[in-house]
Amino acid sequence: MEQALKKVDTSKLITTIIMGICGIIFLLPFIWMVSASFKLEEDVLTFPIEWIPSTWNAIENYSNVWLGDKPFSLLYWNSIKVSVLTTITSVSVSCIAAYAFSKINFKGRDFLFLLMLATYMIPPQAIVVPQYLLYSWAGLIDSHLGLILLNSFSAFGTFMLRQFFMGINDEVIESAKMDGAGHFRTFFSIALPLVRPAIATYAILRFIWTWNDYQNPLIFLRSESLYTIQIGIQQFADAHGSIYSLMMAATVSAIVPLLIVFIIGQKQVIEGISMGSVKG
Amino acid sequence: MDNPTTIATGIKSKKKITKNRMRFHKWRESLTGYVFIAPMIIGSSILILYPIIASFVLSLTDWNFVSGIEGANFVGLENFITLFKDSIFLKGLTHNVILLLVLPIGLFLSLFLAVVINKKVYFKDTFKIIYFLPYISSTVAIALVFQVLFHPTEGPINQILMTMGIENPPQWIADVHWALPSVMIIIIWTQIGFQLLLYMAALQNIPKELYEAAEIDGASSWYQFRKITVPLVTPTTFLLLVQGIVHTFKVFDLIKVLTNGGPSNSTTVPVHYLYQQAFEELKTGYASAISVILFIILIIVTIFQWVGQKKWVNY
Amino acid sequence: MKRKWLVILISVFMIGLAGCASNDKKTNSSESSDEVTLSFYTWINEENGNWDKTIKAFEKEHPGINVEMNILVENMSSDDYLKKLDLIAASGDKMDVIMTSNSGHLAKRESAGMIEPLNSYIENEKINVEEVYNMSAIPASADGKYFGLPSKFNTYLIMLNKDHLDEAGLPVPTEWTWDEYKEYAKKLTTKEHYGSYLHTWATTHQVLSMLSKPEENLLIKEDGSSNMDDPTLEASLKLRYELEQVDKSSEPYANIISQQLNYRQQFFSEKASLVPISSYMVTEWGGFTPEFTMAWAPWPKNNENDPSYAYSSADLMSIGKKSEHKEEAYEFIRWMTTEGMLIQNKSIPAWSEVDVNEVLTNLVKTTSNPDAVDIASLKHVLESSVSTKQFLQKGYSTEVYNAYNSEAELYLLGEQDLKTTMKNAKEKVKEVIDANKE
Repeated sequence: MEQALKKVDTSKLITTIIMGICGIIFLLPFIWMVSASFKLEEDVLTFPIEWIPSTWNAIENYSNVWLGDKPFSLLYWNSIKVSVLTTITSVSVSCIAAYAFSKINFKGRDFLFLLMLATYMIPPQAIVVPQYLLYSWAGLIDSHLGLILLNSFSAFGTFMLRQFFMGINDEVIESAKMDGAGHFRTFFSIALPLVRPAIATYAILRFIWTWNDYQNPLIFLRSESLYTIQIGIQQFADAHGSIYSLMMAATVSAIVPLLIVFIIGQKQVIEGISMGSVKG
Repeated sequence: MDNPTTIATGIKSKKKITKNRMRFHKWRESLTGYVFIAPMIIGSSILILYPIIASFVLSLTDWNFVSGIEGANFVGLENFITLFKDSIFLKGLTHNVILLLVLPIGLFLSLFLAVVINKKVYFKDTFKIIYFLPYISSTVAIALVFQVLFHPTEGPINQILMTMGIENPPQWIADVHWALPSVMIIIIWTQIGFQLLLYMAALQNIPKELYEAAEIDGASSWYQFRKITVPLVTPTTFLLLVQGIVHTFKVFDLIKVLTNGGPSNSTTVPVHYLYQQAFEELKTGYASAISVILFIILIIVTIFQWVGQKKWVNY
Repeated sequence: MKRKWLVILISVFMIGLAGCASNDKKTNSSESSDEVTLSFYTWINEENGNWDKTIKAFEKEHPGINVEMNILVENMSSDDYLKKLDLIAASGDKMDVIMTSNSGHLAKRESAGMIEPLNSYIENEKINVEEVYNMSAIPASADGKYFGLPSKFNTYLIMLNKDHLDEAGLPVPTEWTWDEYKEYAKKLTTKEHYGSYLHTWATTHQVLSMLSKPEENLLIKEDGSSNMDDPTLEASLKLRYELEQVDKSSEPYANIISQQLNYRQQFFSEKASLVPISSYMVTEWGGFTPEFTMAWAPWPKNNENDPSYAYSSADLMSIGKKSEHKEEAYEFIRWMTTEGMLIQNKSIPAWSEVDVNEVLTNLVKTTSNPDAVDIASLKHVLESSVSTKQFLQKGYSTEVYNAYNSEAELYLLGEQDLKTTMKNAKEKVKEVIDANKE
């Protein structure tokens, strides 16, 4: 056994190298972003691309972004707050709904599911005007609460989690019922743990989508103190173009939490390896 | 002493009790169901369904949303009639259908990559991050990098094509015929991260024993892929197909940044046109008509898929 | 174990939500009966608008009127700004002072009922607007109504790299025709740079010669009919094609769109010597600093004997139709477009009663390299240019230009010949005009 572990698997090694080469293409935009954030503005758009800056301007760029006129750190905090709260809400709402849509029998289940799914079938640009008017009437404009609510009822989340709940063997549920557990108990103790990879995955996605959302904060927020990071990044653009070096310094700063969330979340995905349905 | 009548009555009343109990349980089951879905249904009804309906009503008017409700005039189906003659809209619709090709290609690539990363490489975690990065990178950065890659004369792609003997390689983004394929390539590339993530989650749910048994029986990797992996991830494939189709109809940011619908409307799509009509031309009614058409298309497609899932999705 | 996590999550969540809900909004302080607060909407941020200083100066001179700034966007994008502005109007907010960046945008909002006509206020003040301002950029509507006063004045001109001209032994032109522009472009093209750069704006660079006419410069005539038959239009397209594909003295269109070239990047990195552009480029360098001298020439003419006609536009300040403080709003926009512009010192005002030299010198001083700007040639351009006659554009003019551009692009990319292009473009424009007839 030990010998087998010590042997290097050549096919694995070769595959790793090939994937690594392909991976470089996938890394390119990110490398460009980081490189641009280290450069002087006039060197950013040179052609051919200068991957390693000839003149290092990193400290100036990053301090311009973080210590400049605009409260970048406040916007950062706002984004964290809104993204975390949206993720928690959305995951909770979607989990219980998804469980019900897959494991509870009630009248009109399929119809309601399709109805809810229908809300996913429309581009956000099409409904932003009625949404704005609704929010205006309800006094939710210019509030983080309003922003959180907007993204908390995503049909995609419910749909995705439902697919994973469907994968749970019905016998597991039945046997829990026989033991006298109601749906609440079954949901918490049995079903949830079995779909941990899916929950972690959706949480990652919801966090990323909320974090990267530019349209909704732009339209539904008015006070500078409530703005999120995506709006903050835009301040480095002006009417006739963008100041890429600063914009990329801001964007790179903004990607860091996403990477952290991804790395932490991925651990959950792996550790949630199916405990397997109880085999008879 | 139980005589037959008492036993009979006993059984009958037990049956009645069981029946009532069953009805009660069913009622309780339904109630639980409704309680569980309540937040989702209520929230999405108010925040999304209601605006959708409002938008549909607006498609029957010529409103420009700035002038207050009084400014809306009912025009019936006029917007729709104009829409069906609108060459830009029709062109956009064709483009969207072509865009759908990214799905089979993308899904296959993502599943393949998921399987490879899951079991067949070292540094699994690093690779996951690398292949996921495009999905979270800014659209601006992605557009810029691809503009360089697609440079007509000095970009690496055309350089390679020219060394392979192709004399007049496509102008890519600046080319009326190749701009849409360029967009498609970028969509596939960005979406891989997302699809990969979901497939990896699905792969965790496949019992290792199945692969081990197949290995013992002498099955090749490709065979295992076809007969074990693909069938068992069908719930996720279904999810990604539905999501993918909807997503291609919603793609907006990339097109706005990369081509803005051009050159010469060769990359226009209905949602981009909708945005233009609603916010630049202030034709809310007309834009709403576009969203109605999109909605109907997507609903029909989804219902088809929903009905068809029984045939190929394994739960 | 999982239960604990859940409880923690839920409590954090509740606290978070509570914190959000009690977000303190600005409580409307009750104004005393003679204090008025105007809500002022713009897209220009503090850095480009110098608002703190300017507004303070106004409030000092006009005690009793306060101005509340509403800078709706962070990125100076007029498009994002308009989106938010329209939504705010739709939800019924009473807006007092509204800015727009060109008369087309203003016209759209006026027809949507957002803008108050200014004529009664102008008459009350007994001024002749045409004399106080360079009103060429603020066309009146067909029935003589004015809807905005001009603040920042933009006139079209040619921005040039004087160092390149010196190297080629060419003087800075004081007036020239398009043929002479072509000559210059040819002589200025070297291995390192093109002589000319034309950007992707259909309203400017696909209609170069049209903008040299004394009137009827647009694709739609003043009476609303199509202007596509004007031979100058075909000539404009041909001019661009020749510069790019025949003389090869101007950056090819295919390069520009495939790389999304930016005219500032090209000019400041010295990849182009001549750029037809608007006068905001005097100060709005976008983070670049020129290491050469920027000089200026008037917009080229179509005919030798014409004066140097120049198309112009301006940022416009208007009064909201639902405003409850219209008199005060008028006072503010009058001040802002005159003394306010000088205090703001960020752009060339449309106010005619200024010392051009002084204004330009002060403006240039605010840039990162004042010595780079050749004020003499700039002054000459401003003084010798004759503004073209303008009228209030129709709301759908963007659609018209988009239709034209979709054909023009095919010609410039070599996909289609000129005759077919013009024929298709005329048809498409006609369709748009017909579709939008009231």
